[in-house]
Amino acid sequence: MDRATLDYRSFLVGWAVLLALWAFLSYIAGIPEYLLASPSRVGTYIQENGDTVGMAVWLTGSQAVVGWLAAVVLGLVSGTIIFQMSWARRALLPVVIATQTTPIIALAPLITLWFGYGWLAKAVISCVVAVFPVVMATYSGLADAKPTYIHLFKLAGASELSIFWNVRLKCAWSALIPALKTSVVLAVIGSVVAEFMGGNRGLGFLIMVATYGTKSDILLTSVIMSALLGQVFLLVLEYATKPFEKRFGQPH
Amino acid sequence: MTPSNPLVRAMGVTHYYGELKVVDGVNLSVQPGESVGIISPSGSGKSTLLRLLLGLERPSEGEASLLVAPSAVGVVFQEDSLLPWLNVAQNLCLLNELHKKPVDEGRRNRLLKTYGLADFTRYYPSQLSGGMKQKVALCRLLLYAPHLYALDESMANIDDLSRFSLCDALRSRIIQDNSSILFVTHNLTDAVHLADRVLVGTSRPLRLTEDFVNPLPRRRDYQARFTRDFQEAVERLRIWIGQH
Repeated sequence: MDRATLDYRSFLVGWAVLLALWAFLSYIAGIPEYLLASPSRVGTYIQENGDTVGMAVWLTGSQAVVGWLAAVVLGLVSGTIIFQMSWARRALLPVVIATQTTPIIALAPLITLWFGYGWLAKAVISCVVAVFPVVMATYSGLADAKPTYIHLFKLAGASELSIFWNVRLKCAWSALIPALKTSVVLAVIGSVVAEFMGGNRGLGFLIMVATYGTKSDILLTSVIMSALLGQVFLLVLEYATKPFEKRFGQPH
Repeated sequence: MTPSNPLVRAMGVTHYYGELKVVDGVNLSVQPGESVGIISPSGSGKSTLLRLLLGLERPSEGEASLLVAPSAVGVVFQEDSLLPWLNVAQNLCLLNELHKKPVDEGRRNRLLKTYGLADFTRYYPSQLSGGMKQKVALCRLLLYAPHLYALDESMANIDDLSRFSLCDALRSRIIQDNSSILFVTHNLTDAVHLADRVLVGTSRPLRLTEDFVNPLPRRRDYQARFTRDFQEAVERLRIWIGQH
């Protein structure tokens, strides 16, 4: 059976089904506009407030991308340290797990306190939410390198550094590719949640405003844009990693 | 080298995984130009013994010595011998590249053609069958031409014709280069085809109980498989294994 992956066809079909269901609930089932804004009302809102929505998408998206990139770098480095040094495994792993078991709603005010209410704090929150899968995938990918590959290089007199670079890191790709995809979606969630905490821009902020004002059109617009952001990032990663999956993506 | 200068030597090698004894007091040596097979039931600890002999694991007791440089050894494991991120062409030249030994292009092309791999050079291991992967791994060894060929059930998935041909190629190579083969298998006919000596082992923990000297001529090809001597040798081995 094929692995479940997102491609542009399933992306379009998924949204078409959602749109059809939404239209049915709005126009045929007759759910009132204050509970579920109709597609046409949301369309009108986006048309009339294109700049606001566009800026919110740009802000949330850029925070998520920067947060995700930071999470990838941080995850690769800390996963490698955790793998290489047993003392680091004992010391760092509980810290990494603690950042995940503590709700981000509780951590976010602290991060805001340290980094302010601006863009940086939100990228940091996004990074904290997204880093865990990368750390664990790096660690387990490095640790699970097939002994036979390592034996081949050992018999060739390869150094530990060469084995790490030429074998372990490449073996880690099979675990890393799905982790990067999970991580990018988490980064978008982190970015939106971070905007709940403060500031006056972004999709998270729009969601807060819409919630207080019971504006279902703004709420739905923000939710759709958040979902689209995550899916577009995931789609880009799916296509970007496809050439590598043939080589690295097979379970070792 | 003389018979006193083996490539591999084991003296009283015993190995445990935790409480489980997998290898029990093994003594053996492999001389230059010699092909030695170890045959025993599946799961008896043959692969473990091979790793111990190659210095990839340290025995719990006794001494296992690889008396040539590790770079003189070419190994094919039962599975996962090919690096999944390299295509067939790259995997084929891997040992040469690791040891910085120039690739003999003529030999490379002959191997690809002989074993039906010429159309698959750009394929990755995940796109090949188990038998094709093993053929690539064995061709890699034949291309690199080490002093010691270490084979761990390396022909288990290969079709008969290719297997016979690979056994012939390996035997020709050791006669030509005075190189050696140390292999483990549970296939009686491959053992008799490939080995000068077959060491018969017990089920776990692995003990080597018989040293069978192959009566067939040193220069032989797959047609020897269809002779009475070959069948008798196989039968003798079968009886010995059955006794343990």
